[in-house]
Amino acid sequence: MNNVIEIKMGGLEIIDDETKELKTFVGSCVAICLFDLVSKVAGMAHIMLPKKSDGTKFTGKNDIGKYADEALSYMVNDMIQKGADPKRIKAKMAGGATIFAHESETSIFNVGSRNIAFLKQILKENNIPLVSEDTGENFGRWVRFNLHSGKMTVTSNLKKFEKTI
Amino acid sequence: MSTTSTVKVLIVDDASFMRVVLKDILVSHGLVSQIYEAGDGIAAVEAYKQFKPDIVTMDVNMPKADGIQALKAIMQFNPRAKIIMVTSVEQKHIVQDAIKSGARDYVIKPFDRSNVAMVMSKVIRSK
Amino acid sequence: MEILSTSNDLQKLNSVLDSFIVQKTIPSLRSILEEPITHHLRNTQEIPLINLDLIISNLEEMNIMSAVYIKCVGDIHMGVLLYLPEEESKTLAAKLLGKPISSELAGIATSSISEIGNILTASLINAISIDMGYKICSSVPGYAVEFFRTLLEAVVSDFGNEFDTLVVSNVELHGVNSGIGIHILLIQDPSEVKKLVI
Repeated sequence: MNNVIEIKMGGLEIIDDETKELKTFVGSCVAICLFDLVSKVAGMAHIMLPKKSDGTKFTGKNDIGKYADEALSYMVNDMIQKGADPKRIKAKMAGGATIFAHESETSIFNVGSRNIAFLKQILKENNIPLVSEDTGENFGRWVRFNLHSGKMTVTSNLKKFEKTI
Repeated sequence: MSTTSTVKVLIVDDASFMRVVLKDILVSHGLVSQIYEAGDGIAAVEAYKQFKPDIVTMDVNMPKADGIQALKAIMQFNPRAKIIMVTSVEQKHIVQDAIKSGARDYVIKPFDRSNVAMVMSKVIRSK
Repeated sequence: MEILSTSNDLQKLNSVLDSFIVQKTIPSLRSILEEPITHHLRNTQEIPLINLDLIISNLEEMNIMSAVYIKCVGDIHMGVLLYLPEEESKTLAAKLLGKPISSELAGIATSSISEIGNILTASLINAISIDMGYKICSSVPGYAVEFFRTLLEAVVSDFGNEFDTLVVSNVELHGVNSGIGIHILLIQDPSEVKKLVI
């Protein structure tokens, strides 16, 4: 039976044991997963916001995943230390939904789409290919990443679906 | 709409529900003959210029441009415009800003229907 | 991680918020629903973000909620999430509109719930402003239908707090005659607690 490590809001976990799975729940936040399937190292972060304010440092282990820029940098470095090859690291992401909407449909509560856009930019800048994604729309998602298969499973309780990306 | 009124009103509120409520009050009290609507501050100014209503009800908190911005733009276009702020905001600095900018009166949500009708009636009759 | 607020401050905050709710929010809702209202401010606590899902009750986990979110900024930074089970929101909307909700009225029904959120949030910030002199602006209301877990996550994400804990207050309002129950979740940054308990 796989060990499932649940990542809470703003959290981040790195694994190098392919019997383990990473899991999180995202609404407007984004679950970003980086993985190297050859070295069997993966990380998942629960991203809440695009960018950290300047001048602040890590406040602790529990919220390293909160800001996209900080989280990705930490994940890549930690994965390399655990044996990942930076040239082989790939990404998958899910979430970034727009949960709340104003009746005029003016885009106001758009932290989800901002998170997605910023993450894609950082991945591109770091030459990390985004292999697949299930993002946007207006519902929450349970997200699981299986290091053995490299598959990301996305489930919506509201829309009653499960898909693999 | 059966009424002896010839008054044209522009109802400005981002909530379609509130526009329905206000329409209902104005029609049931026989206060207006023609109703126009706008859902944000920018649309409000455009509608005012196009339809030249006799009176405007203006919500404060709206997307794109808020009610105070729209109030100021309309007052600049027509310094004699009759605008009543209809809002849930009771903060003194916002009320003062609206009155200083030319709003004729102010009604707080949730409002009493007969009070709204009375305020509308008073402003319609004013010069 | 560090919990920043003392239990004394949290108790005081609970008491202050309760007084504002009694002062303005309950009269607003009473006027809207045209019936007596009871309320219960369950508690005010500082919770680490990683433990936030502990506040999700079974009711909230199992039921799809209709919800309205409003963000307040200015002298006080506060997130307000108003929610009730989707089925109950249809009863509330029908009461507000004075007629049953058909598919044609779905948009207006949603708007009516959003407007309740708007008015009740404004009542609270009006009370804070009048009593303490703070200037506070609120966003336009955002509406959603989802499980509470999703709503909570989206609100916390949008709120964008600095620290890895949040101060959370849970309020329940009930219409005595209709039985309609409205939940309100207030979230604040722990650094702001002192502003309301001076």
